[in-house]
Amino acid sequence: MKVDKYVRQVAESFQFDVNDTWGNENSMILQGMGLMHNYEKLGRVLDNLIKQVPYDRKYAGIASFYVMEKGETEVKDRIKGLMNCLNAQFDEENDEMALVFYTKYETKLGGREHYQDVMNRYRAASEREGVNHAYFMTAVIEGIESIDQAIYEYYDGLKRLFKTSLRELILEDELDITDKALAAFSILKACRLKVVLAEKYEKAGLDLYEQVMEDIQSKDLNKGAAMMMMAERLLH
Amino acid sequence: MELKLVAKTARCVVVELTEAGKYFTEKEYELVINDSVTIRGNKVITSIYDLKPDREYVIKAVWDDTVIKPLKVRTEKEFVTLNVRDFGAYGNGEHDDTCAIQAAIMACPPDSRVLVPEGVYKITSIFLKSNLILELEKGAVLSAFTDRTKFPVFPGVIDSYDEKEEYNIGTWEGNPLDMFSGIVTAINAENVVITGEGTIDGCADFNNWWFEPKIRKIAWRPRLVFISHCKNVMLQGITVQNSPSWTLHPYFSENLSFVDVKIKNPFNSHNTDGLDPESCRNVEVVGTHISVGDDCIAIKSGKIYMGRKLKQPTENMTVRQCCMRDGHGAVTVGSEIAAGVKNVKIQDCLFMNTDRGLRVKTRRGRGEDSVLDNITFEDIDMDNVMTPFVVNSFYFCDPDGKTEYVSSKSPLPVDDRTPSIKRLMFKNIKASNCHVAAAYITGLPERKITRLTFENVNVTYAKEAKSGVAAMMIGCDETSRKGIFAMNVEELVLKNVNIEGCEGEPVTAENVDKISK
Repeated sequence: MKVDKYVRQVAESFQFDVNDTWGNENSMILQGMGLMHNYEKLGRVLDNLIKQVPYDRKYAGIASFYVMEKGETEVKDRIKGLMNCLNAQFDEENDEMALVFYTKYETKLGGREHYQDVMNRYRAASEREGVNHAYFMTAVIEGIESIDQAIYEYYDGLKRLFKTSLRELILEDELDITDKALAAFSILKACRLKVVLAEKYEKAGLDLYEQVMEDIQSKDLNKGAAMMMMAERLLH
Repeated sequence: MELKLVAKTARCVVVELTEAGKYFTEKEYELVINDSVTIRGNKVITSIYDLKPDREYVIKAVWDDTVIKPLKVRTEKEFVTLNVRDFGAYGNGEHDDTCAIQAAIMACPPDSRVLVPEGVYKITSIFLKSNLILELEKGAVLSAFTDRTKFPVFPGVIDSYDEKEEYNIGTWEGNPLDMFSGIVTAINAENVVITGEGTIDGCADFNNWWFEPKIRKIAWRPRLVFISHCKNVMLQGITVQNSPSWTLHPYFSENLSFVDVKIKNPFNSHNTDGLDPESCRNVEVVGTHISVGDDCIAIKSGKIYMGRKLKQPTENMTVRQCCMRDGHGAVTVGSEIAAGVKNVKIQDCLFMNTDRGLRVKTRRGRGEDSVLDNITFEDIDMDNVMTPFVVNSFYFCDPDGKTEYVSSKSPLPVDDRTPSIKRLMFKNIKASNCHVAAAYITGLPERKITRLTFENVNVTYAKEAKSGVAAMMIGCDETSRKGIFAMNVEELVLKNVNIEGCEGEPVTAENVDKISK
């Protein structure tokens, strides 16, 4: 019930800010909504909300894939437009989450021709000084889920990036509450997708989840990150 | 002419009558066993069943009233027979007999056999162990369920606890991906024989395994027989049919024999290759009949990841006295050949009604370990084959196969992604009633085929020759009655090559450094 209440609260108070960019809270809320899309109790609320998304905004890209997968094929052209927009404005410093959209786009609409470029961008993001591992792991695990395993070397490349980043994250002394939510999300998802051994890591993911839930109304918590974490927890 | 021993068990002997034809003998002949039993035959390779263990047999061949020098052979010893019916199998075509058969297998001591008598035995997956003979008697059918939720799943990769290594079990199209266990599966087993006149039937059709075949549902489709990391395995005599995907898939295994096996899948079934040795050593295929919906034999060594990681080519393989028909390719090398294919000889075979005779499928990106070398076709008769020889270095059927990188006909820099094709030889080949082209050969411009030899090759075309596309690559247009087309080859050897009735030049060479005649 705590999850139901929280998601309903976020969904009903959600407002778009057209000036927002990739990687911000709204983007993650949309992503969280997308992940919650099949959560029966919230499905109708989220369906209605996602349909209101202004698709000319590139930050709507990830969520728009969920709409497309539900049969809303007219969204496809808008997604292509978003990809053109992204190509023109790829922000190397702040676009971890855009990588997920790029990966999804290549798999579903781009012919997988640019996987090498996708991989290079992930690698560049991993090598950036001061990389936020919680954000980066989130981007990687979403990419792993999106990439076509038939081109296995790229799938394996992302797995390796995830594991390296996870080892770095474990060494960090303190994580803020949003980082904890994203770390919980990505670790739990990695266990479910068998990217890492659940035997070794699932407890850490669940512990982080509990820590976030204890302080769920914190103003410092990115609501999108919280929703993504909750969505993943529902699958365990 | 000579009668030679090909293989034997405690209950069966397989003989070969040499110089009598290709797969079929030129005429019927008789095999007389211990002067009492006579078998009439019309195949070069013949299995003789219903023998007793540890007993000497004298086998004579009578050819045109002439008795060929007899063959003396003693069958192997046998300790006990475990009849699966004694272990609770019903064989009534309804009851799930998986556990009963599995129990017999696990209980089987060395030098013994598990016998499956006449009847239809419904199973999901059975697993073989070392030192086992599984005999399917005439009329015995291992008939697979098709409900995928009943099948175990083999994970593609499982990480080691220290996260330094990984264990691969499942495999799909050259990558370590989750797949259902084979209907008959052997993992890490040695000294295994599946023998007899019975059948393993995958029961696949267009309502189950072949429906939406390119969509993974729970896991990828199972093989009919999956042999992983095994040694000394022989399949003899049995019929295998209606496979969910590749029919016989030996994987990282060695010392393998396929003798007098019958492989049957509908011509329109999806990805039902006959035999796909992948990263295997010492493979012998003798007297086998293959009629399938994809490639009859496809020799492989992993897609990029597995090939690059383990570098295990398929090597030392012979295919003799086989008949291949109705598939896309009779013998295909590729397309998952990242670790290369070496020392392969195809000899004394019939290819009938296939799209291609030899089919090499590769592309940029397979990697520098993808070296194809010393592949020979000798004494082959082909009839009604669309294009007898196809070597395609621009194969486009991968998920990323239609990119500019794969399809560019301009030379690209040679790097660690560039595959190579070295020596290919086609000798004593008669190809009648061809349609599309005699040969369509393309190397890469930046790494040409080293040496391509055609010697004593005769090609004629069908009266009503069909048109078609010789190679699955961008830029290969539909043709009919085309001669030999060769592009990007260092040395093209043409000795006594006759192309009768082609349209245009019999030989078209582009970017070929040297042509020897």
